Parts: sequence; C-alpha cells; structure tokens
Amino acid sequence: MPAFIGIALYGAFCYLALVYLVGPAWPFVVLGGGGIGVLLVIVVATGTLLGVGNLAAPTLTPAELATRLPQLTSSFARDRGWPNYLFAQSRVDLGAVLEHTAHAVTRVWGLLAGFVHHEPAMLFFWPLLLLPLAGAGALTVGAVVGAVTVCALLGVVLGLAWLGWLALVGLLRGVDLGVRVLRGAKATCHYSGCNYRNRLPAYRCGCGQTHHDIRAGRLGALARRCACGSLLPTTVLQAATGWVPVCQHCDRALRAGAAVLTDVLIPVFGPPSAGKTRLVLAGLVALEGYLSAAGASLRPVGPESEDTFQDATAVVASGMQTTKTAADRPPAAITVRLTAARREALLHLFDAAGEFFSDREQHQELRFLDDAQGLVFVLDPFSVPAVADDLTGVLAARLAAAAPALMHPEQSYQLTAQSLRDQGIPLRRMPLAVAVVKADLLLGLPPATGLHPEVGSAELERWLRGKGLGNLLDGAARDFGTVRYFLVSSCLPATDPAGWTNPTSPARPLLWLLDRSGVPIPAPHLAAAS
Amino acid sequence: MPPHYLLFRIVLVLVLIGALAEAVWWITQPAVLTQIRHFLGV
Repeated sequence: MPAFIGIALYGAFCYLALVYLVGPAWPFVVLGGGGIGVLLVIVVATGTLLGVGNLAAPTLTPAELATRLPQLTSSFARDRGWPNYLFAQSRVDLGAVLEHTAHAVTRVWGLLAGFVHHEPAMLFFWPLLLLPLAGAGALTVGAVVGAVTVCALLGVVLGLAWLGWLALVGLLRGVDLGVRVLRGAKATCHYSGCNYRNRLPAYRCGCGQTHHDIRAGRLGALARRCACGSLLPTTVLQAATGWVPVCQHCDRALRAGAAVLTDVLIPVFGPPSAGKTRLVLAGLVALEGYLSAAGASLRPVGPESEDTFQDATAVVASGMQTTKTAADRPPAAITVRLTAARREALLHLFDAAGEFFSDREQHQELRFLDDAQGLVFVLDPFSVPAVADDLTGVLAARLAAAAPALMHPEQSYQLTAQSLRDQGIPLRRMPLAVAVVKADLLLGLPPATGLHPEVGSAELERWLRGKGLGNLLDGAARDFGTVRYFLVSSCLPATDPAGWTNPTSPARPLLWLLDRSGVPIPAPHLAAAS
Repeated sequence: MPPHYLLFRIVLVLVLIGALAEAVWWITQPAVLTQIRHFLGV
C-alpha cells in the first residue's frame, strides 16, 4: 500500500511538473537557448578576430606558407613573406571561430552530463531535466545556425575583397608588364658564363632574402612584406627606384635599371683575329662621341664596364694593338647606358673570343646569342682568299700588317648560324649587321677597286659577292630578317672635332641596330672622308 | 604581423556588429514581436 501511494505521488509529481513547469517554460528555454547559441558565435567570432585572451587565432608565419598556399609552377620555392590576409590568415581565423564555438557548445553538454553523473539522484526528477536538455539542444542548434550564418556573411565579405584584390592585381601586373614590354625592357645578366635574360628579375631585401617574384599576388597587391618585416614594392617599375635587381639564375646583382629601361643586347661574332674586340672598343668610343655631338649621352654602367670604357678610350687614342680576348671563359657584357630624346636604354655588347665561334660545342656556353636584338658579324676582308691572293709582291707586307683572321669568314658564319638554328633561335626576327672591318688598310689597295668610304650596303654587298662570298651572303639573307653591310675602320678617327661622323665609323653598325631596337638615335651626319 | 591583418579583422567585426544590429532591429518589428509572443504564449 505505501509503495502504491509513493508511485502515485511520483506520478502526480511528474505530471504536475510536465504540465505546470515544463509545458509553460519550454518555449522560453528553447528561444533563450537558441538566442544564446547565436550570440555565442558572434561573441566568439568578435573575440577571435580582435584577439581577446585565449580566443586569439594563431598567426601564420612566412615559414608556414609552403603548406598553406598553393604550389607554384616556378622552379623557385615561394618567397618568404607575409601573405595577404585573404589567402591564409582569414581561413585560420574562421577555423578558430568554429573551433572555439564547438568547444563552448561541447562544454555546455559536458557540464550537463557531469551534473547528472555527479548527482544521479536527479534522474529521479527527470521532468526537471527536460528543460536544461531542451536549452542545451536549442543552444546547439542556435550555435550551428549562427556559425553557418557568420561564416557565410564573412565569406561574402572576404569574397568581395578577393574580387577587388583580383582586379587590382590584374591592373598592376598588366600596367607593369605592358609598360616594360612597350619599352622593350629586359633584365640581362652581364656576368661571364651566366648571361641569363628575362623580363622579371629577382630583388634582394635588406635582410639578404631574395624575392624571386615580386609581382602583385598572394603575398600582397600594393606592397609585400618580407619575413623580416620590410615592405617591398609589387611592380618592377616601382622596385627600380631603390631595390637591387638580382639575376634569377646566378643570384648576383644586375645593372641598375635592369628590366625597366629598354634593353638592347648585341653580340659581336666572327672568327679569331677578325677584329671583333677592336670593333667593340672603337665602336663604343665612336658611339659616345656621336651621341655627345647629337645632344645625347652614353656612360658605362658598373665598375667592369667603366674600366673597359677607359681602356677603349686609351686604345683608340693611342692606336695601340688590342690584346687577344681570353678564350678560357665566355665574355662578360660591356654595359653602357644611353640617354637620347628623353629615352634611356641599356646596351650590352658581348665580345666573345673567336674560338667560341669556331667550335659548335663551345657555342652552347654563349647564352647571350639566344635572345639578342641583333648581331654584328665581323668580316675581315683580308681573310677572303680573293683579296689575299691579290696582295703579293710588295703588297704582301700590307697583308701581313692586316693580320688576317685565322678562319674563312664563310666557315665562321656557317658554324655560328648553324648552331643558332639548331637551338631554335628565330633568326628571321633579328637584324644582322655585317661589319667589313679594316677599311683603313683595305681602301686604296688593288682588291678594293670600286670601294670608297661612303660605300652603301648594296654596293658593298656586290663587292663581297664579287670576291667569292656569295654563299655567305645568300646564307645571311636566308637566315636573318634584315642584313646590312657596313665598311668600317676601327682605327681611323670616328668623328671630327665637331663631332661629325666619319663614314667608316665603327659606331655605324651599332647605331643601325639601336635604331632597329627602338632606341631613338638622331640620324647620322656623314662627314667627308679625310 | 602585418598591420593590414588588424584592419581586415576590424572590418569583419564591424560587419558582424552590423549584422547583429540588423537582426535586433528585425526582431523588434511589431509583426515579429507578435509572432514571438504567440510562440511564448504570452
């Protein structure tokens, strides 16, 4: 009987609790729990984003970039810099918001379970437990809805920012590349054995870190921050104002203005002892005189080029013999900076020893031949058998004084041209200047009948054809887009005191190639031959 | 940490606060309040 009364009382309690407590209270509990769940997400998100206490999300460092950003197709690892917030840290922050929210909800359920675990007698009053259970469930649902909403909302904001970033990056890259392509700017490595050339040099931060791709991108749109904290520009045009360009291949400093100024690369080739070095040195000195007279300027860039230019001036002024070019390594570029008509350009002249052009295997080391604006082929007329054969008897001394090249010009040309063709170099896009040198020794001799200092390209070509070089001329016309012939003397004064150009000035092949490369050079004024 | 991280985060917080304010404004509309009262049974 007492048991029956107890069961009846317990049933009555449960009934009354359900009807008078749980029934009226559950809408409040569910609504309140759901609201708290939503608020929980917002509070956690705000705390995480503002870095309040333990809620702060971990900050990604440049060292972790490799695992957080997509792999690059470049041969270099991603540069060590702080990424833009949109691409790595935003995901970490949103992940931290979800993690902290899930942790808080789990704790609520843990508290509830712990309470029941420590006070199992409460299970006896199970109707009373329905309310916290409903509250926890509503809180969980509210938190899930809140998390989805917050992530969607922040995702939309970040997506809009990403679209803005995309447009800005595209604009910056387009303008940066477009201006440089229009200028014909490239970065040429002048060091011997490297000579790597491309449009995008690397840049070295003050901390020593090399940034291989400073263009606007995931590491920054308007500026990038190196791992050391320094700010770097994101366009090559901006970087040229104070950052040191570095070769992508050998990691050595390039000339100032690399990849920003019009870049003209002119290799000079020909057989050993043809007079290539003499032509380059005399050509530079003549070019400097010509530009000065025309109101433009030329100055060597870098200590090596300055030394070479000083030597060239001394050699040309004294008329001394040029020393043999070292054949044990590829040449370094002689770089000069031209300023003409408010346009600046870097001119790189490469003078490799003739031995490099007489061996097809050694050709592979001359990487500067791959991407030149034009080529100069030095043709020593005294190495042409039809000319040399006419210089006998008393004229044999003139032949000896000319120190003819050691190889037939046709053989030298074909070796180089074949090597360039084998490498797939588009020669048809390049102009070729054929410099028939030693005019000072040639003019007046019997084989030079019909030649004169003002001889034109077509007339000179006819003379060469008459000397049995038809195959060479036909090959050159077939290989190159444009071929022009110049009769030059690297020993006669290139200009008179007034700066007027001698018709056999060694600067003329260079002036023609510069003009074809888009460097505005005033038209040459030919002085009467002395 | 780059300064623009903080700028981005402040913008995101302002967006959240704005969304919360919008939600509160929406809840306090008479039509919504009526439905809530109906749900609560008051």
